[in-house]
Amino acid sequence: MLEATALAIAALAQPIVICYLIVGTIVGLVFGVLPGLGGVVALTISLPFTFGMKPIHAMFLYSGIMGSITFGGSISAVLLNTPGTAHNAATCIDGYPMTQAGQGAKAVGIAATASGFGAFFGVFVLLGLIPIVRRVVLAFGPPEVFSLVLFGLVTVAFASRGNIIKGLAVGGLGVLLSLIGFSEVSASLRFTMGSDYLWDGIPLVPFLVGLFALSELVRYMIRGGTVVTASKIESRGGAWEGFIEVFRHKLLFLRCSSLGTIIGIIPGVGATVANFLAYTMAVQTCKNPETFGKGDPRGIVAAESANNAKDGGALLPTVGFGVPGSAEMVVLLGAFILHGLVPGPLLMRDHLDLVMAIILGLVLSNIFASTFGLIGANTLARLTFIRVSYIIPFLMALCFLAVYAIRQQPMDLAQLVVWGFFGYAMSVFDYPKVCLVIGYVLGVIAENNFHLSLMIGYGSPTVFFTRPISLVLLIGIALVIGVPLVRNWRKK
Amino acid sequence: MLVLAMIVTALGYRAKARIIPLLIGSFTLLMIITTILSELSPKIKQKFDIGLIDFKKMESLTKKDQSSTKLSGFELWKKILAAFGWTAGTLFAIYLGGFHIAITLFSIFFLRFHAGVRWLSSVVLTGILYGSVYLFFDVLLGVELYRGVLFGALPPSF
Repeated sequence: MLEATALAIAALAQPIVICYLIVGTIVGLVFGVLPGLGGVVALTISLPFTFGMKPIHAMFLYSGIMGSITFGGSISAVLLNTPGTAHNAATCIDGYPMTQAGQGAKAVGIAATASGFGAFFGVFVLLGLIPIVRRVVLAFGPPEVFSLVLFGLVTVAFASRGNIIKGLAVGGLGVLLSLIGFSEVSASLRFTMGSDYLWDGIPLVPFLVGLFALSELVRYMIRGGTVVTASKIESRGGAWEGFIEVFRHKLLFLRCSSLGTIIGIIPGVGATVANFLAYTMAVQTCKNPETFGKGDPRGIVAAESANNAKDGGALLPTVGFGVPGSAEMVVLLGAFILHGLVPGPLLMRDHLDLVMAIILGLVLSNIFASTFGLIGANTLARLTFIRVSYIIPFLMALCFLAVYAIRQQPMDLAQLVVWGFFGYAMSVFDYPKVCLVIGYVLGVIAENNFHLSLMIGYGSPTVFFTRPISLVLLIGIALVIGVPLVRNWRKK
Repeated sequence: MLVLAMIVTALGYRAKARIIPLLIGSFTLLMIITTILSELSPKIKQKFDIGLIDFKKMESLTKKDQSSTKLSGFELWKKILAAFGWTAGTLFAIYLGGFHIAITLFSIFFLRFHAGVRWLSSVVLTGILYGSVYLFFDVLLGVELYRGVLFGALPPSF
């Protein structure tokens, strides 16, 4: 682990890597501030541009984006009452009232500090758990990986928008989509409709960019107007006061950061959940809860520390087991595949330096983001006053070009458009896109491990129930689905 | 329909190739049927309406994005069709004329006719966009952008 850390630090000695980190941070801040875009869009659009980079350089760019997105979203949440990303929705509740009271800069200062230190907390927990996880992953064979993948699919369905049935349906569809193309397991082509184009299955980049980026552009096109319709930005007062304020609520910060990290570790559950759960916990456990919702700094501390601490936690299942901890991690998995890395238990064994690069990048990008954000919060927030019509041609061109640049296949552009409108329809009818993508990414892993497990068990499916870790995970799946359903039926 | 089609198609595959598609497909179909039934029957919807977070309740605590306006059914469909038209039109323009022409035309016409920006501003913004694309993709990344079938590129094959 020390050697891997040294390699990651040595990479930082190259000025180009610092540039990638700063560029990633700025991109993350901008995409975070603009509502509807967010980390997944920023990461998917940046995927093709990293194609020719060394993997370790690409990881610094991605971590720059991931580390700054959430804080970017908190700027518009606090100053404009519009969360830049879904992860910042709870931040609006107390952030905007503070802005209305003329304490916008202080609120941004609280968000910057809580975000930064929350991310550090998550990273430190991750660093502490990596040696343990490296041993644990060795106990994971194909039956355990298959059960873990199923567990991830179920928890993400449970924690996403819409209801669990929609989430499971969409997750299943994602798995089915991943089966299109050549199957290594059976050495046969499936669902290609006689097309050469689908030999390799549905390509990842057009799928992700269409589903997340283009669908948001379609929404912008339909909505029109400016990104946000606030009349002005109120940001008087001192950011330094905000910095100090976080330290007045140390215990709350530690509780919410712990909660965020734990939520991040659970596969599939993301920052949106962390944000709301931490806020709810703060309201239920703090003194004078009646001040929440009226500009209480504790609301921002709770929400922002949790949604940044989750980054460290979410990395654990992603790099340890190849099961994404959040939507952004899904894209990171895609990035691993793009750079020829195989996500899964062996990633930490064979490429620990890349993992350390991501961790280091997260820490540094949070520092940069908090600094840039504090200096330029007003300027960043003004981006949201731009008419969406000005942004659309640039982003549309970026989407088409980014998708084409990877494989230079014109048919990928048609895929992009199809998935773009499919993603828009999913948003309108409240079907969680994250479940579709996680199903797509995990589908092949699930199938390969399923067949390997059957081979280990000499064709008997009892192999999933006779191995303790697999059995525990399957019981967990049953509880995650069964307990809320039964409770719901009893209530009603 | 797609899931059903995949299940039916999978029945024609060898055992090893069809087991996962059939298992997952059947489960997915069951979930889809349950979703459809829950949309039709509020009673069934109540039974299955569970999630970890009540996002609608939490989001009601935050002020919604003020720029979103309620559109009537017809107006919404008009805008959706317009969005589809612009996107599909761009794709078609790329197919025919290549990226450079398609991006230029899309940008100018979108800004002028959809956004209502003046001609001069549309041209200037398009110039900035075209310049950025050329600099970044052609010069820095060295990507050979699709020229379009009218300029000799091979038509895409499915």
